[in-house]
Amino acid sequence: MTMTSEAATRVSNSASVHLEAISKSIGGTRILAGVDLDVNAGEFVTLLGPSGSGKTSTLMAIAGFVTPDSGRITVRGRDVTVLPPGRERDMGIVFQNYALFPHMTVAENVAYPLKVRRLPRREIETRVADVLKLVQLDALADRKPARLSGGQQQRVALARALVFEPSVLLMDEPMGALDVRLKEELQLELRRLQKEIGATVIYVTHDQNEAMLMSDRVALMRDGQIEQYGPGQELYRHPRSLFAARFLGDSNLLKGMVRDGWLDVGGLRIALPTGTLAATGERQAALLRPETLTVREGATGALMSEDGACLYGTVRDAAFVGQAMRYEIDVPGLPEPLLVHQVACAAHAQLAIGMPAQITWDRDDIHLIALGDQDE
Amino acid sequence: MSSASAIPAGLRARRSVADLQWLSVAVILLFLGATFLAPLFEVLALSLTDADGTFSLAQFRELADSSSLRPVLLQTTITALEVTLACIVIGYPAAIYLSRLEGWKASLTSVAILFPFLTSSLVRTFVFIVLLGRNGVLNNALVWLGVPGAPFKLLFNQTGVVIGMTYVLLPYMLLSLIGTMRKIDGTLLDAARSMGASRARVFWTVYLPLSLPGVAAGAIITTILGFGYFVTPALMGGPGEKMIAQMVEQRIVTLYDLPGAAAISVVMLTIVLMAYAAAARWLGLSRLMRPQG
Repeated sequence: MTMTSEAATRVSNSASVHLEAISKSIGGTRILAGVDLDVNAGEFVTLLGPSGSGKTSTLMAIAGFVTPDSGRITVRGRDVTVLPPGRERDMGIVFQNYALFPHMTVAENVAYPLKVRRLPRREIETRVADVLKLVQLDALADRKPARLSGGQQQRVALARALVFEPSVLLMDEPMGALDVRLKEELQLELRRLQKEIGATVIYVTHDQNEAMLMSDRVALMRDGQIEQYGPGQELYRHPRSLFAARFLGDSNLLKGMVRDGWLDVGGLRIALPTGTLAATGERQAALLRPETLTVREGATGALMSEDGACLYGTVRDAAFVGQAMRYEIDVPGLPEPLLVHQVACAAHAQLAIGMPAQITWDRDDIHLIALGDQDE
Repeated sequence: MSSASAIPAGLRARRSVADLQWLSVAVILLFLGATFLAPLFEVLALSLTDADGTFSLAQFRELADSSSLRPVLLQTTITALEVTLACIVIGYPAAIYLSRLEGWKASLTSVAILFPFLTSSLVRTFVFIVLLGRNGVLNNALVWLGVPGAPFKLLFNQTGVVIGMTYVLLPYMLLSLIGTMRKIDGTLLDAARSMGASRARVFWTVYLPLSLPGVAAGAIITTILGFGYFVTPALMGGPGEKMIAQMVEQRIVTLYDLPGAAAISVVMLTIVLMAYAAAARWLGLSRLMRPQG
């Protein structure tokens, strides 16, 4: 299933894309509220967000199917905001349902954009053969799409979007309809292929793992705006808002107020990360990722530790989820139980429900999120 | 032990459901047999007897020799095909528009298309006589507009027959086309556009091929229905353009030649069945009936 590099051709054409304050309302509803986005040539950028956050609308605006009410879209510095989809706009699109022509064979589907460009027949044949080899579908060139599996259809769609070497490749949740195993395989394949040919890819998904796995940078969207934009690791480790912290991965958010160099969470003292400059009176939330916490059997009755990187509680729920134990620990003073993911190995004794527990962490694994006025 | 007794009970229940299904199928078959198949065999038997009631192929021999059947058959075929063509030409663009409507507009057009079926075709044909007559609404309008050559002879000739039958059969074509066109995935058209195809090219290479099954199904229905049509040709046609159904009627009513009428009917039925078989074979009718994708 690996894609061969011999057939790979570098897309010399790949371009940078720049979005500037893109807004769009449909029927009185604001679906895009000032989207700014910079995508470098050859970069893989993912628009991530819950449904209704505007990620597909942003993609369709870049594709030209949605014309923004205001703002500017430039590709390689050229303004394409109102340019209709087509040859001049020069974008390869992989649609969510793949949009393969059911009355054409795989080869005819892939040849379509080349025929439109009136290339000589020889060249069309060579290029179709090359790109089908690239996605490893050369053996199925004469099949109709209906006789292909979901994964194969997806690769035909990809081949058809790549074959005319567009300046940008847009993909709208292309893995949505695939089962988990196939999805993981294709994600890595697509990632490798994209690096190989150097295409600029703008990718839409609501799957955070997919976004982090594949992208150079992730743009997290919320309510028609980009909430945070950066490498996946940065978004995961240093989310700038509660929304970002909650959307990517599991999280424990302890909300409190800074007091004398500690975070006071309902009377519990949490040590701030070293070097934090937070003034007394600031409202902050401490983000503790479940996998950075360590849990062990605690002494009954212990309530606090001196170093501020330890809490005591009772195991409320313990579940084995394969690579980890998933604990929920009730901590007196916290409104919600703490979630702990602990690697299931000999080093960690498993705890049973109802046992007293001690939770520790490294204070530098804490990330502080400043709370705004509207944050509860 | 309780589960052991539950199994036969469950089976019995399933059994009685199966019996019920058989019963309902049997009722339908009985009804069809009594009202359709039995008369059909009666006609077949009638066509194979002579005046004395004994078996003979005389009727068919006579038809084969007669010079009257062939021109009528030809005329009927031509008319049916002309009507089908007219239905495609008028119906296709209309269906494109109608298939894109949504919500109450779509419901309204569906009702509007089906509405003529609630009226007897006799009444509908009379309406056309009023519209198309020498002093009819249409000709008066054309004269008033000063169209050269007006008033035209639009009734009691081939033109009248084709206009009338097209009106009656157009809904079948429309329904078939709209059904197929609604199923065409709009993202296919978007995809083609994004790859650089012009609107015209998108139509010819994607939309038209995907709508052809609807055209074929509609054409088969209108051709077969048109082939056997009686009322409209009888009322709106001229003496020179007799269709085959009129010939049957003439044999029965005027000549009281029941075996002769039956023989023509059998010829008609054979032609229609052959046309249908050919269509099913060449156009892959079973495939046409299946949804896209």
